[in-house]
Amino acid sequence: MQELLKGITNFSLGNLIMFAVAGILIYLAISKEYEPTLLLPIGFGAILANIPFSAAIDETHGVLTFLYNNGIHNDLFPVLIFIAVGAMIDFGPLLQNPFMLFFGAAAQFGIFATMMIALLLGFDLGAAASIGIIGAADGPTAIFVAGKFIKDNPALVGAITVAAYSYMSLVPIIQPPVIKALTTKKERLIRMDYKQVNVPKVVKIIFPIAITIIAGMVAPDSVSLIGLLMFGNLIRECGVLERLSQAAQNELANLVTILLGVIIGSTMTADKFLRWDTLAILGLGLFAFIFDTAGGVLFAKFLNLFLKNKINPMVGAAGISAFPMSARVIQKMATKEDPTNFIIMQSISANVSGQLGSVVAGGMLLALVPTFF
Amino acid sequence: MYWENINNGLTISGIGLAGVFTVLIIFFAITKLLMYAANKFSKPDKTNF
Repeated sequence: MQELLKGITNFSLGNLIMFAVAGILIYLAISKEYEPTLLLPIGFGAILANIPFSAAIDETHGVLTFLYNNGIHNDLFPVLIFIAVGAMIDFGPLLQNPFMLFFGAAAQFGIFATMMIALLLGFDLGAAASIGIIGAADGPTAIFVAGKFIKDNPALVGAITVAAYSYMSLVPIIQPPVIKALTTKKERLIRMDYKQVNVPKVVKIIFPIAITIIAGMVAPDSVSLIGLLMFGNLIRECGVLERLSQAAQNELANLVTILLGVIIGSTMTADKFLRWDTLAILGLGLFAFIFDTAGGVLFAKFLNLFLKNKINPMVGAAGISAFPMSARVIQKMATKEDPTNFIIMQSISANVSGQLGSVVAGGMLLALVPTFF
Repeated sequence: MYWENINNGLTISGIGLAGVFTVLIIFFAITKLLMYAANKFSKPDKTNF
C-alpha cells in the first residue's frame, strides 16, 4: 500500500510549482503558438520529471536519462538539428548582398555583453558563457554550448533552452521598443536601393564548403557546429540529393525536435530548477536579446557616418538568428513609418547573416572559454 | 577568483567579438570572390535568383 501511495506522499510544493511552469509552457505553445515545436515537448518533459519517483528519469534505467546522456551530453541531437537547419537555410539573399554579413557579426554583441553581466552576478565562466549564448537567438547553438559548459546541473541547460526559445518567439515584442529608442524617425525612413543579383549555382555549392574550412581552421572546436550546419546546406544546394534534403528538413528535424524538447524538459526537476539562478537566467536572456538588437542598430548608425548610401539602422537589428521573424518585424516597422518603404530583402540578408554569425559566435565561445575555465 | 573571472570574461568578449567580425569579414571576402569568379567564368543561371 505504501508503495502505491509513495508518489502522492512525496509530492512536494516544488513539484506543484514545476507542474504550473510546465502548464504555462504548454499554454504558451498551444494558445499563443510561441515556438510550439519546442515549448510543448519541454513542458511535457517537465511534467514527466516532476512526478515523484518518475521511472522516466531514474538514474540507472530511466529512458529520458539514457536519452540525455546519449543525445545531449554527447552533442548528438543538437548536431543532428544543425543538419536539418542547414538544409532549411537559403543563403541566396546573403550571397546577393554579402555586405549584410557585418550585421550578423554586430548583432552578436548581446552574447558577450550578457556574459559579462552574468560574471558580475557571480556565475562562473562556463555558466556565464552559456547564459550569454541565449543572445545567439539560436536554440540548437544554445543547447550545444550550454551542454558543453554546464555539466553539474543539467536543469540550467533546460532554463537556458526555455529562455532562448521563449525570447525568440517574443522578438516582435522585444525588438521594436529597443529600435525606436535608438533611432530617430528620419533614420527609420531611410530608403535602401535593392539590386537583384544572379547567384550561380556553383557559388551556392562552394559557399558551405568554403565556410566550413575557414571557420574550422579558425576555431576547430566549432567544426561539429558549423560543419554539420553547412553539410545540411550542401545537401540542399547540390541539386542531386533532393530526397535527403527533404528528409533532413522534415523527418530528421521533426524526430530530433520531439526528443530534444522532452529530454530538455526532463532535466527541469524542482530541486534543480527552482533556484535563484534559473530566474537570473530568464532575466539575463531578455538582456541578451536587447543588447543584440542594440548592437546591430548602433553598428548600422556607426557605418552611416562613413557611407554615402545610408543604411536604414533598423536593418542592423535583423542581424540576429531568429529567422525570418526578425526581418518581418523590421519590414513591419518600416511600413508603419512609410508604407512605400521596402527593406525586406536587406533585412532578410541581415537575418541570414545572423544565422551564420550566431554559430560563429558559439564556435568562438567553444574555442575561448576552455582556455580560461 | 571573482575579479579573475571578470578579467577573463573581458578578454574572451574582446577576442570573441573581434573573432566573429574577423571570420565574417573573411566570409565576406570569399563570397565576393566566389561571386566575381562565378559570374566571370560561368554562364548565368537565370533560374537561380
